[in-house]
Formats: sequence, C-alpha cells, structure tokens
Amino acid sequence: MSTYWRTFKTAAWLGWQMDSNWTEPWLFVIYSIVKPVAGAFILIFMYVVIWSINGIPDPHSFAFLYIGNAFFIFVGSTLLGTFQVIQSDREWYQTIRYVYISPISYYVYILGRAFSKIVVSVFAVLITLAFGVFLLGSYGVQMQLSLDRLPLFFVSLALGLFVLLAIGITLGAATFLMARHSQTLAEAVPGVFYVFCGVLFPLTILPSWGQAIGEAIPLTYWFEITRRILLPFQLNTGLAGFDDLEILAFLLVSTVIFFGLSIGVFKLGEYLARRAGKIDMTTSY
Amino acid sequence: MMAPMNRIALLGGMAVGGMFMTSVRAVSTLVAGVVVFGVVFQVANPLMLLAVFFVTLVALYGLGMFFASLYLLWGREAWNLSALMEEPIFFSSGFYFPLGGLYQSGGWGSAVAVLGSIIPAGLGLDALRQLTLGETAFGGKFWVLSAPVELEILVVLAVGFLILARYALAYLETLAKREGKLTSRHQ
Repeated sequence: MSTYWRTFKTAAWLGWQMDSNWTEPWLFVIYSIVKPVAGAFILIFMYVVIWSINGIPDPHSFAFLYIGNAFFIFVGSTLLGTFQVIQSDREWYQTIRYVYISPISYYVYILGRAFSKIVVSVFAVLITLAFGVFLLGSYGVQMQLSLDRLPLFFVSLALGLFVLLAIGITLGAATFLMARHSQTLAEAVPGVFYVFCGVLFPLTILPSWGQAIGEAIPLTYWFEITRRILLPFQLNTGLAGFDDLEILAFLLVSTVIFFGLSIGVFKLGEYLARRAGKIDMTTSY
Repeated sequence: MMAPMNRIALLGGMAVGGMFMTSVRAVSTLVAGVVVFGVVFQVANPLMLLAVFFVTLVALYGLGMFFASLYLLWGREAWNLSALMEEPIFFSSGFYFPLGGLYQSGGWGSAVAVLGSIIPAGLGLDALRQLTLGETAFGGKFWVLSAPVELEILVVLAVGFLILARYALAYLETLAKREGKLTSRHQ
C-alpha cells in the first residue's frame, strides 16, 4: 500500500510540475482565473440573449446551468488528464519505458498524474462558483451549503471525481494502442457527457432515448446530487422520485462498477499493447 | 526545416486535412442538433453558406498559421497560452450566443465584441447563423451585419491573415534559429 501511495504522490507532484512550471506564477494565476471567468461570461450572455428574446427572466434555469457548468470543469480536465498521460509519456517526452519498467503500478501512476489536473480544476471551479455567488446574485445564482449537508457534499464530490478518473482510465487504456488520438477522445467524450448528463439543462428536455442514455451515465447522478445540495430550489430533472441517499447509492454503485471496469480494460489495453510491441512506440507525432 | 519547401504550403496542406476533420465534426453536430433537439434549419442560399463556411475556415487557419509561428519560439508556453485563449475567444466571438448581443450590451461589452469581430469565427458564425436559421431568428435583432457584408470582411481577413502568417513565420523562424530554439523539443 505504501508503494501505491508513494507512486500516487510522486506522480501527482510530477503532473503538477508539468501543468504549472511552464511559466511564471503570476501568469499561471492569470491562466487559472481568466479561463473560468470567461466561461462564466459566456453563460451570462447566453442567458441574457435568451431572456431578451423571451422577455421572461428564468433565474432558476440560469442557476441550474451555472452550477452544472462550474462542476463540468472537473469533467473536461480530469478526462484530458487521464487520456493524455500514456500518449504524452510515450510520444512527446518518450519516458514511458523508464516509468513502465520501474517497480510501481502504472495504473496508480496515471491516477496520480490525473489528480494534478483535478487540483488545478479546483481553483477554476471555486473561482467560477465565487464569481457566481458574489457577482451574479441578481441573475439568480444563489447557493447554499449548510453544515449538515457538508459530509454529503464531500462524499458525492469524492465519488464523482473518482468515477471520472475510472471512466478516464477505462477509455484512456485505448490510447495504449493509438498513435495520437487522445486529444480527440478528450474532446468527444466530455461532449457526450455535456449533452446527456444534464449539465446545462434538465434530462427531461432530452427525448426518452436520450434520457435513458443520461440515466446510465454515473455523472448524471453526481450533477443531480450536487445541485440538490447547493441550490435552494429544485427543477424537475426526471430524478425527483429518488431521494438523496438513493442518488448517492447510484453514484457509489456506478463508481465501483467503473473502477472494476477500468482495471480490466487497462490490463487488456496494456496486454494488447505489449503483445503488439506498442508500449513504447513512437510515431514522431 | 531543411527541406526545400514553403512553410505556408506545408501548413496549408495540413490545414486542408484539418478542414476535412472539422467539416465532419460540424456536420455531425448539426445532425445531432436535428435528431436530438429537433432544430429546424432554413437554408435559403446554400452557395453563400458554403462560401461563408470555407472562407471562415481559411481565415481561421490563416490566423492559426500566424500564431503557429510563436510555437517556433515558445514550447509549452505557446500551447498553454493557446489553451488560455480558448474561453475568451469563445466569449468575444459569440460562439454560444449571437455576437450582436455583446455589441448591444454597450461599454466594455461592445469593445470586446469589436475585438471578437477581428477573429474570423465572430463574423463567420454570425453569417452562418443568419444563413441557416433565417434572418428573423433571435427576433432579428442580434445580427451584427448582413451575411454578404460579413462574407466580404471575411475575405479581407483571410487574405490579411495569410499574408501576416507568411511574414510572421519567416521572421520568427530567423529569430528561433538565432536563439537556437528551432529544434528544441517539448521544453
């Protein structure tokens, strides 16, 4: 266990260095602030334009999509973090052979590297939420987080992030066999989640087959419970029949399933890559 | 870099490949919009639509080539800075809302919209929306200019950015050679 922890810690530190040491700290701080704030402005103008067309303000919908969009920052960066580890080590830095033959778990190493992305994302999510609470109250962005709901929030956050890592490794294992398509994966998969997990709109907007897809993706339950905890009101998302603990149970079960799946698919991808001699292939990409 | 070829031609060829992928993704998104959300398109002038689409892509790739020259000097910094610029560009050029909304907001919003209009995606998307959703969409009150005028501006932008890219690549190539950064990898 201590080897796993040491691997995770070192990989997370390495990932953090790679994410942050490319520039001066002040530029990195600007980088961490500008992206989420610009993202928030996009939402504001989407809302204002629709409000202007309809003539009817809908602050609840705005708060709904604002929270969803804020937490979606975790999805994009965590998935990119897991998808790109194998490719970047193999193709760009050409260090995979040294890491791979070292006496560590490569699976845990990827978890650690991706964790650094989560750390960077935490800043972005916090900035987005703070921007919403302090500057967009007049648009309807109101949040609440009572002390008795804190444990539920942190448990759901931990499960949500863990299931993201598991999904990332499950799909990222395919990059053992790919030349350079991790970026495409990192754009396409979050795109699917963006549409089907009720990030910007309630699932009930989708056609029934779309709702069925959304209900099969664990992230839907993460977004649902996060909104239940943070928003002082509830919209009809099609999951109103389940209480908080049931939603949490769905999230827990799907996390366990995806964790098992990620180990299996990772081993398979690794086995196939070794058999094909592709573990340290370079395509000069 | 030693090969006897034109850098613009190389980047242009790669851009054409990229355009194919981009077009496939654009069509997929449109199909998803129709199938999942029942979006109704009203394309009255398909030739103009194609012209705007491809001129916008050419202008965007010209802008991209211009910035590509920075990669000769900066490694990960350029990559991270381009990632940094994504959201501000999405915002200022009206990716997710009509750019006219930003123009009409007044004050700093209008200034940002003017800057966003220099990015080809701003006017390109505005024209594409007019040509696919009809001029009366969004109450007809959020368009920046008419589609033909926007196409003319886009042509100017495309030519301008391609010329700028040619000079920027030549200048920064010389600079990168002088600083010994031409072949440094993933610093």
